[in-house]
Amino acid sequence: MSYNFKPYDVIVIGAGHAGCEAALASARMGCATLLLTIDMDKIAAMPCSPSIGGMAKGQMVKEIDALGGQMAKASDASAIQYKTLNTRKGPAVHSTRTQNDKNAYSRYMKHILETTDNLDLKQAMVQEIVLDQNTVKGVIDNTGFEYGTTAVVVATGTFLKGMVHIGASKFEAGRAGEFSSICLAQNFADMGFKMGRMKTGTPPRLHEDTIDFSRFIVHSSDAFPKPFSFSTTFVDPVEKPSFMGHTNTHTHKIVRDNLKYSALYGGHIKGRSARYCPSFEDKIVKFPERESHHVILQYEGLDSKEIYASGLGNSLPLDIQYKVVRSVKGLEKADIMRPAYAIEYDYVNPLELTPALETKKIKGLFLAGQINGTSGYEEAGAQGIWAGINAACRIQKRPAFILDRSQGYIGVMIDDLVTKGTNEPYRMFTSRAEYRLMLREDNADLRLSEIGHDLGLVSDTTVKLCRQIQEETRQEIQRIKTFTVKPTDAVNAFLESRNTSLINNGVKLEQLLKRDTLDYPSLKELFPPPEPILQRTEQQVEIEIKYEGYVQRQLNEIKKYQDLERRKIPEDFDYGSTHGLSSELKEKLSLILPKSLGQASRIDGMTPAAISVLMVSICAMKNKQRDLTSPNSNLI
Amino acid sequence: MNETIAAIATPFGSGGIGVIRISGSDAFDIASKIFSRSKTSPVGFKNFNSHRVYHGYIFNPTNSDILDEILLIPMKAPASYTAEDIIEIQAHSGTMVLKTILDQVLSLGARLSEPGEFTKRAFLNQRIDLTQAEAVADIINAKSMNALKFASSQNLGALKTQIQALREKLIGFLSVLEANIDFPEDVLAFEASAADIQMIDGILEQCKDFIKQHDDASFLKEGIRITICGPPNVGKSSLMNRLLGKDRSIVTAIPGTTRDPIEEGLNIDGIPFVIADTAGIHQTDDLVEIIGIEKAKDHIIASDLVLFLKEPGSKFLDAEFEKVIPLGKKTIFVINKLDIEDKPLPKLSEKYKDIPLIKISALLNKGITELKQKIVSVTLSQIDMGTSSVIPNLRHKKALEQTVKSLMAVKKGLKTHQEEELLAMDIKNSIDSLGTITGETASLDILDTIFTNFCIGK
Repeated sequence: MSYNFKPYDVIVIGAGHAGCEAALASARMGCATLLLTIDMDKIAAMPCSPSIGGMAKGQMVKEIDALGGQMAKASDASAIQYKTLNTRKGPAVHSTRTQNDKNAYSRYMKHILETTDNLDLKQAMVQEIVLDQNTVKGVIDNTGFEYGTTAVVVATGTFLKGMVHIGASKFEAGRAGEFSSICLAQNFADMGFKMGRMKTGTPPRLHEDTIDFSRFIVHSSDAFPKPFSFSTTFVDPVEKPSFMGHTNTHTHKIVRDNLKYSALYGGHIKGRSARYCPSFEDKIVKFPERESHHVILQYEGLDSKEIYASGLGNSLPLDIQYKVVRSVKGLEKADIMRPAYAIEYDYVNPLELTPALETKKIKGLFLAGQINGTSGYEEAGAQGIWAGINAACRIQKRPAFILDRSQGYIGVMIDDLVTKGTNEPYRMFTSRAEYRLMLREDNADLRLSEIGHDLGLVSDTTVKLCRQIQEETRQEIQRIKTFTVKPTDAVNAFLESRNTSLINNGVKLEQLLKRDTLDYPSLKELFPPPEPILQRTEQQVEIEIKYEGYVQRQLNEIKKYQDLERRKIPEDFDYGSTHGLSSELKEKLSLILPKSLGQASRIDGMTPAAISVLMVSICAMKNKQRDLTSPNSNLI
Repeated sequence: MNETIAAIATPFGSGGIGVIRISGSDAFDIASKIFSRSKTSPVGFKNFNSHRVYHGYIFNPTNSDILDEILLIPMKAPASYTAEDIIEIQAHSGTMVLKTILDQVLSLGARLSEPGEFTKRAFLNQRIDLTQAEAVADIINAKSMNALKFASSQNLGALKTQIQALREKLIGFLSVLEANIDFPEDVLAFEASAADIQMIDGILEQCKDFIKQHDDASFLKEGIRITICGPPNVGKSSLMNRLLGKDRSIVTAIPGTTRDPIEEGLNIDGIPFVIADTAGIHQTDDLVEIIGIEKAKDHIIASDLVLFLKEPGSKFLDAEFEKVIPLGKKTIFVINKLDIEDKPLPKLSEKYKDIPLIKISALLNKGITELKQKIVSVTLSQIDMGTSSVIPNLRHKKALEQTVKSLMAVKKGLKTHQEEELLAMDIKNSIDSLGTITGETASLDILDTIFTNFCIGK
């Protein structure tokens, strides 16, 4: 059944982190967008850690923000603690992380969704995606109501055939207490997608009043919180600290003695879990020699007594959970408000997707978030904005929106997913980015706001600011490279005070800035720029000068990388008949259909010999075509 | 790939036949413009049958001069080395003749091929695969039996295994750094230890050893450089001719005859040498002589072994020796003109007692065999040719040099407490450059690198 309204341009299924970003991007680009969610009280929920950002994730949140997405702003609106990680290391690995009030985050997002033009928010459980041949036509919910559309973004998170496990008991759920999506999962299998099963989990929530915080070490917010979003000028959050404690050998014994009751170790769970997000049972089993593990207690919200007990994720029966929790010093009387649990869910092998996150089998069908085998709110949000933009590009007949590995962490992630696939929950690390030095939090907007602006997602003011910073940086670097500092007494006194060697001859200001113990703010006093410059410019100048040699190398590497990305593989290239490739590789190549030699070189199992075979065959193919059609050089 | 290329396919200077090879769509056309089956009929032969040997003549098309009597073999695509149309002209050697024929070919529209271009086309036209291409290069470059032995794949496999072991150590170290960066709250802060620096040093030493093994072995491919030097008219050119077994240098009784260093290839016991005769070194005001003497000195510096000649009746002055021969340069002291019996032999002072001394008479052909043997034994003592040697080729050597550069940066970074992400970059570079040897890293300019190491015409 249906009601007579115009079909939508884009329907987004699921209002989690991926779905919200997708719907907002699509609507803001001018497409008539519908966002469907099973439960409108659970918009942008945070099922696990009450925190946004962290290593590599902070970088992605900044990139989402630079493209005009919402996550960073939502974080600023709900943060109860700010931290910058790795401040003792270089700027490329500084990452922002907030603790957030989960309810505040969700309410903020719902409000944004409800007040965005071109965007309709409705409650419905989608059961089926309607196809016309191999193109998306609409969706049908579980009451039989049909909505027409040209593109669909599926962002169902952990809901496809979601199964919650606590000890031996299990029940269908997308999250504890929420409906699982069974029919849609079946619909996917029917459409011919390769589905797999993954597992993740969450720790218990404890009642604040039953915890003895005196036994824990307090971790406070950074003294000067730095806003997550580039457009937030100032934050002054009501702050809550977090608390660090330890398990002990007694805790570990309880787990070991009861391992067989764990859903994970009792053999009830078939889904693959993430190695870097181990359950507590995993830690005991894999690192038996360790006598203690961290437990970090975090507030879930300003007006909630629920305390998230990070590090204690497990799938043991509830009685054992109590024993485990109460063996920790400070938690002897702790009350469990929500038990820990493990959850299994279906995912689609991301090799089925194009770099635009569109499925190769079905036109107009985009997948984003945990359904692609990733884990993490930030990974989901990044895929969401990517898929939303691409759905809109498809509708508006614009070229696909693709960032490459040198443009952002988001580009790295999408390329990893659609080129290499994943069989454990994929999480972003800084070590995945070859050009980590260039992909920093501090320059995310400088890299991406022009692109966001071209898409209509970023304001003129923002772009103007970025251009100003870039121009000022260029000029100031020029000045620093050409300005000669004379060896006056004043200068040498300053150098002495900074514990660095004195100068006898004139040196360029650049040389001083490169010294370990000197930085831009200190040099600015003695040698100010002719016109005042923005603080952000100062930051960029300092980084570019201090990192110069390495930055130059990265730029050279990026050039080589981009050259390879430009060597396109023709769409109709026949891998099956290519002489010199193993049958395994032929299969992989035919499945993944890499767009360029660069992408092909990253496929698992690709060897230099195989690449040269490809190069040669493509060259030969082009030569043949050219010989056959010599006057028409533009056919190549 | 659509230009027709041509080159002289045989090495300069040796052999009775020289081959010019032309490959490409214009090959047959060009050949017909300069080939005729008889001395008297005009050029313009058109009906080449593939893989037939044609006897005939190459003419200069502009003035109808006969350049050479030749055999010509056409090979129609794709049944040829490059899978394109090929013409091979077997001419008489003699550099001038070959060069002239080649010039004609080039003037008619072919282009001089780049190093390795024929084999590159064979590869691009899928006539041979990459390993075959590399093997061709190594075989061509192996000028002696010893080099051929070392070019065998057995040694290459051993190299890869050893390099992989180094790589694993570096990967282990990198993972500690990366863990530190990505999990700052779970992993202890990174502190560079003496053990870390020791490990890097160990790997640096091994890389440098591999590089040295390449350099040592490359002697076997390019020829060990010997320079003959000494005062004027002591018999340097005569010695050169005796060693070569032919009249290569110009020998006259007039001192100062040899002005420019003259080089020739020489093979002793399967080991290739390049031997140079130089101008007599002495005090002079003659400008041309002075230049000749400077060239001689440069040659000595660049060579691996020096034969320092003196004759009976002359004194041996340490100062003279030291002025000309750099400290540590491998030298053989040769006393020529043993046929002169009435003059005393020059003596080396005590401090040079370790330099081998050979007495010869170039005139009477005496002592030459002994000298050759001494040359070989001095050379072999320099090179460690143990059976455990693995010989990296030039491409591998460049990768190893890149690795050394990166690891030196790592070492410096460890000592100066450099930021972890910069250290990580340099370690990753070293892992990647080693990876181009083991084949883990797909370096896509490998093709270009391999093919530039080919010599022209193959």
